[in-house]
Amino acid sequence: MHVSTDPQVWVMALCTLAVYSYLYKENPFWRLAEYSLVALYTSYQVANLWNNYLIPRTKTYIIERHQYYYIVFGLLGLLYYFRYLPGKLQWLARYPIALEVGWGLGAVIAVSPRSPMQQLADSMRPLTNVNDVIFFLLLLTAFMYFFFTVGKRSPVVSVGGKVGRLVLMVALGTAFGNTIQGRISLFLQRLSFLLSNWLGIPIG
Amino acid sequence: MRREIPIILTIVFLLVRALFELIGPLYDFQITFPDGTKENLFTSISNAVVYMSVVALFMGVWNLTRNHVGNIRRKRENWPYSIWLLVVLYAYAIIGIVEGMEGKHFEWIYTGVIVPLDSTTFSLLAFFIASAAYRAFRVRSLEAGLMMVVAFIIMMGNTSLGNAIWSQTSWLGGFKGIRDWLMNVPNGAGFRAINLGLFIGAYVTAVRVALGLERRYLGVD
Repeated sequence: MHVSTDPQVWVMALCTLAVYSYLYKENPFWRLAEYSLVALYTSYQVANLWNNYLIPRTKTYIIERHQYYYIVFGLLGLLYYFRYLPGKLQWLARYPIALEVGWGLGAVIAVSPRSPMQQLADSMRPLTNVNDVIFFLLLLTAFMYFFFTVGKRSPVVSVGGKVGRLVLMVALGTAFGNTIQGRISLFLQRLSFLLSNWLGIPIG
Repeated sequence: MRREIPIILTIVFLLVRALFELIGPLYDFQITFPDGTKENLFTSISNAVVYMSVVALFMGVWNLTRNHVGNIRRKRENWPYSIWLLVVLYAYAIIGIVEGMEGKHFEWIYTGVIVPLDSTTFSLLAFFIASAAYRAFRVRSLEAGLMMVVAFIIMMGNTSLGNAIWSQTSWLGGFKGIRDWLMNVPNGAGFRAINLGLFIGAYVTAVRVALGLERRYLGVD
């Protein structure tokens, strides 16, 4: 057993223990870890956007290529900050929001039907084996669960909706199982780090 | 002025983007810039919109600062941690801006603090999911039971323990065989219905925005 002498490994181990201390109860170590994570993540994003987007794009597009309309978009971007300014100019933040929402929803309107339509087309496949028949019936019942307008007035939709709810629970169960496994594997990684990298206990 | 122009701006940019997405693959709208470089018009506008969003990079810092300065001023619960948060927030941002992403100190803190804090916080969920599973079993409904049985089979099908208990080569393909069937048939059908429902909801919202009926994204006066 050789306990690590690397200061970074010690910091990593202490951070890990600080977070796991929450399993006992809320305590100052956990709080410190929680507040640190929020601050560090925000700063990381700032540094990332600054170094990888803002500065390179300003240099490339405005300084080197003289695409001066970027300045207009940059000034529009500055209007976001009016959202938090005191006074009566907060409404100016709506301009960049409106532009970004419009640009994003344009893609939703034009492109987003592609994938669902492909999925619908795939659902209408020839019923050549038992699994295809079961899939099709389960899909219909799952749809019926979402028929809120017809609802209980139609006995077919009512019964189909009840079966559909079970289908959705199976689907959510698979997602739940996979999520648990993902989290457990993360936990095992942390445990392996503490035992092996930090305390030097050979495992596996 | 306060609402009308943003709504018009939204609709105009929505239509321009939709038009570009639809006819963009058919025609190549090249524009030439003063330095002689050529670029697709659609790509150029897209990049400019991204640039506009990037300019707002300090919004998160500003928002956190506002909230935590408020905590400190009013001496709300846990206010000393707010001081710590602000120190870490500004120190790490300055290190990142001055040193760059490959800076020695910046990377040391990323690997030494952010990575373990992040993965450990996510792994905490393993324990809380276990307690959620316990509560779900207490409900004793058919749906909750079904969900837990499916989750158990999925986990068994994914691990070698499951294969050791009920082998892949035995009846029904063991846990793995049932897991595959669950993933492909009921899971596929269920999530397809959920996805199509989501799509319809998102699309209707987009159309409402395009028609100027949905205005909540602009906030309230």
